[in-house]
Amino acid sequence: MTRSTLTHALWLVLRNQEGRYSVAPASHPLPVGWEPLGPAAPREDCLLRIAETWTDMRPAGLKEAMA
Amino acid sequence: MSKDFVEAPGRALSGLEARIFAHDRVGELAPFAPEILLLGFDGRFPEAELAAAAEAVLGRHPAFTARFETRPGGEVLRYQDSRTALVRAGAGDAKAAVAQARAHRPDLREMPAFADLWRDPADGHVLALVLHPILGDDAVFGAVEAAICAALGPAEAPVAREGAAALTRAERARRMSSWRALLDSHAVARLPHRHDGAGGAGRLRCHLDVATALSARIASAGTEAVLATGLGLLLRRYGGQDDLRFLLGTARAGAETRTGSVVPLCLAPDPGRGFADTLDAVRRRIDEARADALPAELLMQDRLARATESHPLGAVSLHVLPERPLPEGVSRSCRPMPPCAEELVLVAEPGPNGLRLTADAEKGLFEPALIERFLIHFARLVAQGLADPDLPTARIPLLDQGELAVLSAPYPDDTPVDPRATHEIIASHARSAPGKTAILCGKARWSHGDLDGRANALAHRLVALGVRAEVPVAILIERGAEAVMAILAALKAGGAYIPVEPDHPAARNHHILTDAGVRVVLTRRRFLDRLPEGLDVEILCLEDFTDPPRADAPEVTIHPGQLAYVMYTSGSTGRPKGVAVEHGPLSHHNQTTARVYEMSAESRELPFLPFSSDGGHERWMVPLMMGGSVVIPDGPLWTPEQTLGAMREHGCNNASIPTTYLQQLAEWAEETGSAPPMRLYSFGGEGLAQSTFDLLGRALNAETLINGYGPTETIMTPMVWKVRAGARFDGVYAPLGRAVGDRRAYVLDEELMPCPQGVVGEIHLGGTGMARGYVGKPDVTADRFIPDPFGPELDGTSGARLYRTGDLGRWREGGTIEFVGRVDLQVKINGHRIEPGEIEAALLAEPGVTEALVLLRGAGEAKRLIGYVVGPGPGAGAALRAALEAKLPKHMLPEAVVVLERMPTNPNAKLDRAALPLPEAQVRRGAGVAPEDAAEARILEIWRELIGAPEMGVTDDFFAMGGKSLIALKALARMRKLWPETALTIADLFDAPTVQEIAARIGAGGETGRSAVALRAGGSKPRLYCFPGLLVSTREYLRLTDHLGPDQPVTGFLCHSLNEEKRLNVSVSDVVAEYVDHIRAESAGAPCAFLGWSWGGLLAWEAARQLRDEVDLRLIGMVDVCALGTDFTPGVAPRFAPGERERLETEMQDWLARTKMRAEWDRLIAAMDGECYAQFLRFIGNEAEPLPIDGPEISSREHTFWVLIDNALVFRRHALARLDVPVASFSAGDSLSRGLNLIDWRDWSDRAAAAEIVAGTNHLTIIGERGFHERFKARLDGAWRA
Repeated sequence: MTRSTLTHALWLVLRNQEGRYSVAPASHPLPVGWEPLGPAAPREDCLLRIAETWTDMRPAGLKEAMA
Repeated sequence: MSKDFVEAPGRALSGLEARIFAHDRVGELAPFAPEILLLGFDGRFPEAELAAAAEAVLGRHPAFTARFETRPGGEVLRYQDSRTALVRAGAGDAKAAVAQARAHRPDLREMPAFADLWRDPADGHVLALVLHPILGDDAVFGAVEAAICAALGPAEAPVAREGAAALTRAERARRMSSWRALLDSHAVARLPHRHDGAGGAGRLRCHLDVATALSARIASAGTEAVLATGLGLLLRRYGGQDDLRFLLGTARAGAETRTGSVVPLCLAPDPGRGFADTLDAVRRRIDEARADALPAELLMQDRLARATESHPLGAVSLHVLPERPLPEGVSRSCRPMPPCAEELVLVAEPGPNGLRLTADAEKGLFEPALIERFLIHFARLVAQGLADPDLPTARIPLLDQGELAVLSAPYPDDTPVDPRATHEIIASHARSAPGKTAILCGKARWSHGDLDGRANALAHRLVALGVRAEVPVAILIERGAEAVMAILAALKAGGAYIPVEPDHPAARNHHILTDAGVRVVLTRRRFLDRLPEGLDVEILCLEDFTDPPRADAPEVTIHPGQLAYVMYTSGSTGRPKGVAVEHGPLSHHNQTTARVYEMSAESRELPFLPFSSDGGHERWMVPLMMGGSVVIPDGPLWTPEQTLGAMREHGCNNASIPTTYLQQLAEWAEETGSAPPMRLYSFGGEGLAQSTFDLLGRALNAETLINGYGPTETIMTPMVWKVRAGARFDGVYAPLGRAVGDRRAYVLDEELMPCPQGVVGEIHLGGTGMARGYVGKPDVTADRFIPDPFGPELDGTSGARLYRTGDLGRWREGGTIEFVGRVDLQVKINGHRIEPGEIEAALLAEPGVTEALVLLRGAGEAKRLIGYVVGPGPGAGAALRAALEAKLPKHMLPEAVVVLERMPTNPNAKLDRAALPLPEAQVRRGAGVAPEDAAEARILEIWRELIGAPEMGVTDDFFAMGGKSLIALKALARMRKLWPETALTIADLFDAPTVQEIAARIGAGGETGRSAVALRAGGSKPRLYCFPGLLVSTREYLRLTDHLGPDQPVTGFLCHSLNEEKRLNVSVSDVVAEYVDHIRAESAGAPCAFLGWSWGGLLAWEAARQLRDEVDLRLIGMVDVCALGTDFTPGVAPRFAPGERERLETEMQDWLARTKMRAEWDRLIAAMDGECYAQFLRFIGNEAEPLPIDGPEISSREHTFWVLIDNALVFRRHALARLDVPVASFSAGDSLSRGLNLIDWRDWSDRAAAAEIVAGTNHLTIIGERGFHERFKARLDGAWRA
């Protein structure tokens, strides 16, 4: 495969309706069903933020059912 | 008008003309072809006027007045004093005209051009013009066409004249060095080749008509630059190269003579920039390339002098034909194509309705569908690029939604999903068919009722121990009925299970038991000592649990998002990660899998997969969910005999087995014929090679085979390839197939753009069938599970995720995905992507190799490509590597090939990469045996110094220690000085390659000085004799000898110039006398064959003449044999400028006064006649370098120079005679491009064929190249059969 333009690009922390987190390049169109959280940053920084925030990995539906 | 031409003397050919002439001379015109132009004239042009206009142009345009003359020494001159007659061909339409035009065979000796005027029965006339390619191309026809149309009009337009200024030497050198740098830093761009050569010989062609509106937009931005930009961007994505090159045809070319050529275009498109910026950059690159242009022949020769490449300048070419409007009433129905020399030639021709793109590709290399799609993607990329000029080009989609939907689609399955969890569906069978068998394991034979009752009882206990939703229960029990029961109990209690294999390493198990918050461990007493100390959990041993079975499960509601299990991956690096899987996707996966596998209540499966991998669980869950049964092996190490016996005894119809074990099973079954009839085998875990797959189909007596693939993160086997046994596939490994269930499988590039079919990218899996993530690792989860950009468009999903597998794959024709390798093992060297799979395929193609793996080992600078194979004998590594040398480009050669008894596997039966041994260091180490006498000591000293191996001893092999041909010559020269009375030749060194042996030979006396070397002594076929070119030893034939195989005896003769004594003025018949004696003694009356390379061809011919009545000569192979050039051919008088001859004589005398070889030169010069002496002076004058004075050592420049002149003297006096022998002739592509004076053997024997051209080789390299070896072997085998 070829060189990626994304290696040094800025990324966003995203979260979907089930409360699952991920990252996507800030330059790409926002994927449907995901909302951005916080500013664009290098990928590693975004992942670090997720490590700190996403402490309960249960999906939202299950959390609600267990509450 | 044509007066100038008539009186002008003949001119020498241009480089391009000389190349085409050479092709014509050896009888193989391709890639050139006769050029045809067809013009239609409607009724408004009377025949008489048309004929007059055509004749006027035919009479004065150089293409139609040319004549060629070959002078002594092979120089060809072109004269313009001939004439092409206009033939009134009669009645016929364009179709008839083109048929006739194709039937014409333009011939350089007789008729190089044709012109036919046809009367179209419908209306008007058709003019068909045919040119030998040496005379013209599309551009020349453009001028001819314009001249004819002008002659029909009011005024006569002159034919445009071109005049290219000659380059100065300095400018040429500057351009050459700039091209070298560019070509070295940009890789040859290529489209993916098909796996086998099954496409056949010849070319395939397809067209695409670009829409009128898009054509107009392209034209307004500059057709050539826009198409070159589009092609560069597309090749980047198709070939995976960042810095790449392809060829651009010269659009503005000669009007009078053929000058059309190609120039390499080196591009490094920045994928982050838009099409508009990229277009600007490409425009600049085109201008620079054209400004620095050198003849393509020259560039090609320069590349080939340094390395052998099949397409040294580029493998793809783009030609944009200029638009050539015609006056009203005139039409053009056939226009010449550029030479189709590259793997893919793209031609863009502007027409009245827009651009027509034509792709002409080498049939053997490409899937026709790939070329068709390439054209579609080309147009799509350009259209999108022009429409959205600022969009980063990397984001321009090549596939449309329709293509993507089809390629990514799972196995069709529209059965509604059962909302119940896996264990709930299993339990339902305990109610409907409680007595039906569920599990057979060892002595245990449990019905569905038994299984459910026990699991219920245990589940109630677990609830009492605190198990509920999201609470993990570790199952530390060996694979078997009770482990299944314990797992079901954990699920019934609402908990999640974590399988722990008791016999796995303690470190791994301790990590698993402490990582995921395990609350309860279900185990046996005998495993208690395997628990980590201080583990704060509830431990329940099965022996201590005696509660009676019960019919009711605990009252627990299972949420689809609730955790079902945590499975630990066996990562090769770092600690195992726990993959958390939820009930909803698990149950859905199992349900669809049951349908794809066609499972039913009748299914009885033998699952051999371990419980530490998720696949092992799928394979008991699914049969039980269908109300079927499983036969679980009661030990991990059943022999193939036990396994096949159990299948037969228990009436199994399904089996799921790791690929590595399945191979052993199949081998055993094949040997013993003991395979029970089975409906289905499923397997997976490793790449499955075709040979193994064939074995399975042959030996296993099964209806259906399923190759399963899946990372734990996407739940069990998210992709399968299901085939009837006996099916074939092309590719290195069996396809991974398609997605299963609510999933899609994609191949994406690093920008997450879908790759076109055939192009390698990373495999991604999307849909709901995937894990929650990694336990306690939200960042790693977010890193590997990314937002799905395609689901919303394709399936209307929202918030869906994609899993990046880290595996490389490509979509095959037909849409299944093929595994290629691991992303992290991908290697790039000098811009060349190396796919280990390709090297593995080459290894697998070697006899005896059953498994192959190629890895990059080591770190940083010390990374080495290593091949591992299973199958051949332990010592076969070096031979395998040598075999690869002939098949693969140098950058793809593994440093070593290691032969293993079997591939190491980890506890999960997967390949254990870390356990693969590193090859022993490839250091040449001499045995270092000390010399016994003074002679040995002196030889050893010379060898040690020349080879640079101070540790070398008297029993070490000269060549194995690194002695190359040149070093051998130097060593011989030094040894001759020590023993001037002994005639030592290089043949002696081959036969006696150690100090001990050669010293013995010298000591014995009289056994040295031979000129024949048996390259292969034995073999059942008749012998092949190889005749040497100048200064050729015989090692040059070693690779050919290898290729011809163990049955083909081969003898090589040493070049006489390598002999000790310098005999002067010998004749060719004297030179071959020794060879002839040798052949006579060995092969008199017997069949044999000769091979002559370079001058050796003339020697072989002379030997054949002398032996014509004594041996049964079946074939002479002639490899790039040239006649003497103009320099020394008798009758070619050299020309000198005034005073030049005197100056050169003085120069020569000065040089002779200084050289140590004075005596030899004097003898040689004394042997020259007046004409030859003048030619020698001319030759000295032509030399750019100062005359050498480094002789007389055998490898010196001066020695070589002397040999060359001596050789010229020998051949000056030699005349070829006709012989009645079969000749197969081979020419190096480079020799043709130089227009060398190659001999057309058809002139000397009625049984000679036209030459076969070995592209990508030159005069020196052709003898060592696989392309030549294959061709020669085919001819030789044919000759033996005849």
